[in-house]
Amino acid sequence: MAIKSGSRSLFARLHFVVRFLGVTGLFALGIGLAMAATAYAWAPTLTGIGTQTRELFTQLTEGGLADRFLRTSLIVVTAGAGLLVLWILVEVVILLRVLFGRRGVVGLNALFQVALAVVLLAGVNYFVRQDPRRYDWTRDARFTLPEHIKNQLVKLQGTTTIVVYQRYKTFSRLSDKPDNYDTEAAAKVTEKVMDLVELFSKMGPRFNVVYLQADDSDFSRRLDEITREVPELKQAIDLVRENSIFFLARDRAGKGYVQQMSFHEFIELDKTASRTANDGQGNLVLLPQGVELFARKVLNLQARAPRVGILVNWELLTTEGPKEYGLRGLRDALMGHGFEVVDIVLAKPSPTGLEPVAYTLAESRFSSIDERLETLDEILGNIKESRNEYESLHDNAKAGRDEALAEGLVRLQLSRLEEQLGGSVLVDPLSIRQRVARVLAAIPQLTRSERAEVEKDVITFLGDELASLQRAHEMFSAQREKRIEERARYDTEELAELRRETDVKKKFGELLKECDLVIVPRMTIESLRPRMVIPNAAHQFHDEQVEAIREYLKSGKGLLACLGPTSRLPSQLGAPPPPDRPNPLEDMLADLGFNLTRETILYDIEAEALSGLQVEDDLGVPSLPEKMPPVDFRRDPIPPGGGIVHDLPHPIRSSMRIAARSIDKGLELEIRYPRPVGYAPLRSEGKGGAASEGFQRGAGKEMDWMDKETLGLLKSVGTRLLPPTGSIGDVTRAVPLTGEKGMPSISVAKGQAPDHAKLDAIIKERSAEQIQRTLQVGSLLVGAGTPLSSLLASAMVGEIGTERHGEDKPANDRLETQVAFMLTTEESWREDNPFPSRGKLMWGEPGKRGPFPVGVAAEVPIPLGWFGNEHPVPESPSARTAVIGHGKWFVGDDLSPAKERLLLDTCNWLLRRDEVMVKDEGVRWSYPRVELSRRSRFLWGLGLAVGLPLLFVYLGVTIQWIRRLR
Amino acid sequence: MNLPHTPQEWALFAAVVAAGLMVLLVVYYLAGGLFQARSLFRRELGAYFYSPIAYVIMATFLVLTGVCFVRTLNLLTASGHVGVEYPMQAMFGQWWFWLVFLLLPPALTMRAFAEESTMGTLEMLLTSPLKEWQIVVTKYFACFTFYLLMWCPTLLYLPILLDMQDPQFQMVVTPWTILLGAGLLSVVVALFMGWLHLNPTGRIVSLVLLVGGTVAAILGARLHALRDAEKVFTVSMGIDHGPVLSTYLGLILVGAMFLGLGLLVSSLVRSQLVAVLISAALALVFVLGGVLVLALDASPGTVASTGDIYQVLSTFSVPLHFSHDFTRGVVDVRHLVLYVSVAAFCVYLTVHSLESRRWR
Repeated sequence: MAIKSGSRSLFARLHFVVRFLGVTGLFALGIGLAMAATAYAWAPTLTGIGTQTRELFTQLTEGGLADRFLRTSLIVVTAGAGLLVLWILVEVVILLRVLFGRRGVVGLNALFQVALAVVLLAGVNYFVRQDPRRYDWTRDARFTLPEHIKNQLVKLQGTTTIVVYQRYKTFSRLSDKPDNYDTEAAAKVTEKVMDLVELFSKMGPRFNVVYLQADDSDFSRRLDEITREVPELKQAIDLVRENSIFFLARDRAGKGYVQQMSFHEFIELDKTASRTANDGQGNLVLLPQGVELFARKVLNLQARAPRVGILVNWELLTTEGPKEYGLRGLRDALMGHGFEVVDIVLAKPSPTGLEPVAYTLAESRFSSIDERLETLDEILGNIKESRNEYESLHDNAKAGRDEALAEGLVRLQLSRLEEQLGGSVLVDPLSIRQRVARVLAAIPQLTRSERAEVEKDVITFLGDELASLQRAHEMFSAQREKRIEERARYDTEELAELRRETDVKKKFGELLKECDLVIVPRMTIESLRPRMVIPNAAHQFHDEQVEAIREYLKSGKGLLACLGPTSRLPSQLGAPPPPDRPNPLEDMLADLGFNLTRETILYDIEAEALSGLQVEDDLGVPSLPEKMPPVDFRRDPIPPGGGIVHDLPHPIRSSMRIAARSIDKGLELEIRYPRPVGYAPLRSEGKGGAASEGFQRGAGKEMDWMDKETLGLLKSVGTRLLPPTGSIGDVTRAVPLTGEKGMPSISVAKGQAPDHAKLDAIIKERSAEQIQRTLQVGSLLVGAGTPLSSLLASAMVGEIGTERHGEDKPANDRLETQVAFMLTTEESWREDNPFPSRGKLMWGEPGKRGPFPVGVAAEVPIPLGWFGNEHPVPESPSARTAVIGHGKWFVGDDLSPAKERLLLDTCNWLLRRDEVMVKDEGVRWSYPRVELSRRSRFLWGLGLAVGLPLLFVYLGVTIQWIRRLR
Repeated sequence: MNLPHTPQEWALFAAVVAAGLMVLLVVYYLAGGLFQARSLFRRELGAYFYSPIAYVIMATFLVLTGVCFVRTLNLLTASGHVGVEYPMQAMFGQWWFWLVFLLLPPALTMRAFAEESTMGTLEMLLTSPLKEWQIVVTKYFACFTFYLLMWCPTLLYLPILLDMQDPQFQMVVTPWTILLGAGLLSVVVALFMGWLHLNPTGRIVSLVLLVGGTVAAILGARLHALRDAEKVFTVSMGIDHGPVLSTYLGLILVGAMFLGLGLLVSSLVRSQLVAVLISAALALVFVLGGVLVLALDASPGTVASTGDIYQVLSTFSVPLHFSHDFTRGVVDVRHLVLYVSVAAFCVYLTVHSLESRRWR
């Protein structure tokens, strides 16, 4: 018994020691882990931690771990874990002994049941995790994807990766000083984006979600990891400038497709509404743009990126040009939002002026290199020739030949003369020969010592010249080598093949076919004082190039023209102004209804600086105002007839207004020296446009309903008259044929043909001058400068109304204001000749004062005359076209966020991607608010946070007292 | 009705039916056991109200929820950029709420077995005609009932949390309103009969009235809401009520889980204080995840939130379940299954714990 007791005691003590060691090990393990956690940058994933741990222990065993603190912590962890394992092993052995003992049979049975319960517990939880179900109990099912989207997503094949990239903590780049609303909006929008992304990820393994934060310490590694096999994504992430979501998929061939959207495309902040919400107390107001937009990106993942072509005459003006002239910022902004950008150079300098070409940027550069190489070869040839000449002179002078000595001496004297004058001297070769002859005659008269001195000077001079020529040869040779190297970088065969095509129209047409949108930037007036102007002639396209653009527009694709003012430069010394040069592109735009005058818009703030009386500063540089009034997107334009337009604004203007509201102030987009842009439609507003089509389809036919006299009259004023065919269609607008107040006019009801007899009578009553004046007056209603043919065409077909001029607002005015998306402020006026001259004062005469539209975008009907005899002609052909009256708008290495927004909105609209433009469709999100008076709020808080607990304290105390009484 | 077509669908259908029948059987069995142990249930529940601890717990709990309520009230009536989209998230989506809350269920369960062990009444209880599982389930349901009652005062927050306005009552007589009224009347009569201490027959009648009345009231209310054009009671709610319902569902089930844990620990130790501390420590496993997530800076949508550690923590993290799902109106079955399964497992282990006293 004693032995048994002693044995038990020994076992118990050993058991205690093991337990003590085990607990100590556990404690040490905790301390060691805590130390290790702070001593090393651990990966966020278990796999990562495992790999790191293995590496660290390898280093520890090999003695390569330098960090002493980390080494100690790992030793503590190892020791602790060892003791813990020992304890567990001993306890397991003891447990097994108990279980398989006599009393242990019952326990074993219990243990078995518990083990089954554990398995059941784990199994049930594992099972539900394999197919997790979520039920959305919200009123508006905000955590449920619409059924139609789900059905489409289910059909997707392969895996789509959604990368949520948070670059900034704040919401919008538009705001230079983010405030609380921006910060709160950023957090809320991020939350909403995450919720939506999570909804997609719940669709199953076909969606893989990755988060990237620019401020994450592990960002670079993660970025490399994600983009290792998809360089397209890396490029897109590098270019992006705001918080964005990327959608990535790869086809079977491994090609990556990337689509992206900015956070603000998904939800936009309305700071103006936020500040005024809840009766001015404020609330966060967001404008959700819908889940469909997000889903569309996923569903159209493999859609080709829209390609934007930049049409310029000079390499300098391309997206690779210098920051003063190039469009690098435009390119980065577009590419950062999933566009492709290509430059097309349309002119090549030649001795006779600009030669029309159609080059890609690579071709243009290749061509420039070739030309440069030709020049360098010529220079090197000249140097070689000169060197041979000087070598011959040098040798002969050394040999003591008088002819060489004489010529060398003359050249030496000329060189000294050039040095004295500080430049090269142009000397008639005949006079040089005469001078050489004179020197040659004088040489024999020199004494021996004088001759020796002259010989020495001449030989030294010729030697120096030879050395100089050698240096020049080396320098130009090096340049030549460099150009050859540069040339070798191009695919010469492909470029040679491209250059083989000499038909400019055909080649340009082929290039345009690959574009979905073209931009024509024409920077003209950069500064008036000092005068820095690129003549508009430098931008002119050739007729056949414009013809190719016309063909491009006929296919319904978009055009953005950024056209600076074309005001004539003042003539020098009273010379007559140069004649107008043809401007085929602007003529084409005029055919489409755009009204581009030669005027330049100036601001009141510039009046003093542009005045001829302006006093210049000490350096002789006139001081111009640094800050110009910004363009206006927010105010409804005032139509020429007065009043306010209440129609829906243009989508671009609407989006820009939302952008302005997102920062609750103007966008501060300044514009200097723009030109006014007008628009007069060529046909009725109705979508079908059957009337104008009918009219235009009759191109080339005589009007059989009009007598020859009238016909001749109208033709004499340059009008192309064609008969209407069919019904008028859905003509809904009316423009008076007579611009003079009180003159009779005829009306055309919707769907009816005009009263030709009455129309004839009206036309017959007037002389050519009257008609022209009428039309000119009328043209003012639809935009000054509208071609008579276009106006009359419209008028003849159906835009003839009962209104008398001045009695009612012509409907065209409404249209004009609808299509204008950007205006100058009222403090502006337009000038035919904006260039300041001494004694000239400019202040904006009455009738020429702003605001003026400087940005117009319209879906313009394509004149059917453009189609000629083509068959079949498309139904209601139209193209989206925008004109911005400024050529430098998008020039520079970096676009401001507001300009970038305008560019993207304009491009998206021109590409008919209205769905990706931010809209305000009345759907707003804001925090729920409970309207309570101050007193009510206090009472609710006090009653429920203090009163209710006290009530239970009171009840408890009372019941305890009652119990005591019992 | 869509009938199964494929053999797999039929197999699944059969499995669901079998599981449903089994659940019904278990419920029936449990209900029978509970009915047999109704005296114990009454004693356990009554003990809460007679002891000061229940009022302390109640007051503490209401202070805690009150603080959350005031915070939410301030956000709901705020001006400027601040606000709260989901009021229940501001109430119960905070990790600190759960750190305090996790002490309350153990406080409710600590006395269940530990006190009986200390006082020596457990042996007496075990020798009663009741089986171990009946004792455990009855004690558990008593705790759970008190837990549910504890939440009842928080319904007073709802007029604010739902922005209830313009409540209107009107007399509407339809078959469904009659059913609703009859159900409510039955419940009132049943409660009155229960107060009278009737004989067993009377008690059975009162129980039938109580259960039948409750079912009738719920059915009538539901059908009235769905089918009647005019409503007996209308109130406009400016804030979505879905998140409130889902939050209360989550709170009920998470309470069930914590109570199960507490009951198990209470059956294992003799000291009530130790029972509270160990229960809280175990409950911490389900709360600590939320705190660690903060430490990892791995709130949903961050880089860290995609890591394995976060995934593991979020599986068990009750604060995350609430801040991300329940309080926003999302009911995730995974969370429900976790809470219910852990609660059932703990109750099962508690039964084994009591049984093991016989053979240890």
